[in-house]
Amino acid sequence: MEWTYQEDGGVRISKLDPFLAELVQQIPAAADADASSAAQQRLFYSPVADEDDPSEEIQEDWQEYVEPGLRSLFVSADDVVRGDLVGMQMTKHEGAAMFSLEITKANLHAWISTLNRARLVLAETHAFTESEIAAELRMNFETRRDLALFQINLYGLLLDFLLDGVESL
Amino acid sequence: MKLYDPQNATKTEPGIQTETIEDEALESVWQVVVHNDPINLMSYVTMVFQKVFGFSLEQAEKHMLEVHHQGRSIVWSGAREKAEHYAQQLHGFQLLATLEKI
Repeated sequence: MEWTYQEDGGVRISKLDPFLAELVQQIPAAADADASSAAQQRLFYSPVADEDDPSEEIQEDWQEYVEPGLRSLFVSADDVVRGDLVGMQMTKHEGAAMFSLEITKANLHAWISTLNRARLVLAETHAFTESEIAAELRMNFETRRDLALFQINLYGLLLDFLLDGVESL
Repeated sequence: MKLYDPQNATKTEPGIQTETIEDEALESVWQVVVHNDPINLMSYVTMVFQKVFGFSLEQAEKHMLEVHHQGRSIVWSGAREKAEHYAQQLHGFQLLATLEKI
């Protein structure tokens, strides 16, 4: 896998083998906030403890007004990512199929949002501990959970690369 | 503030009456607190702090390292409405952010 920063502020990810390309294609699905109740609780929660909000006013306002706004924000970012993934190109490299992807500067923040959310959703859904996430990456997958851990690390690598490419905030 | 109320005024000296003044309760001050989540990349958290609060890179990294090492960092304090606004933005970036009344 290679990545390059373009002169126009966009990024190009190339030499993705079919396995990595498929995992990249799964980013929007992996970022689904409703993938599990644990993911929902992580992403949508009232910011105020009961003792500071005895009338539950803030909690009710959050559920009624803030959560729908967050969901809309997340869906918009995912739609941008899906749109870019449609443009993934296949080429032959030394006889093997390889895939490449272009991300424009305008779409970087949507990718950053979706990648970060994918990592959170996977971590919550599979209940990974901090030590599991920090452990040395394994390439042998025996379970769906093993694959999810690999996805968290792959998406983290892509996220770090995209953050480096973000020039202005 | 309650001004002179002739019903409750007390005459202490001829021609002098006391005024009853009550201070309104001061608006509560709220803190925006970001909590550690081991999944979030340090570079990501730093970026979010710069984007939401306009922190310099140095300030953003200071708060990020507080979150990382101490488990939490108070990133803003002030009126409730604005605190809620910041918390909402931080939730939009998927950070663990809460509001605490001082």
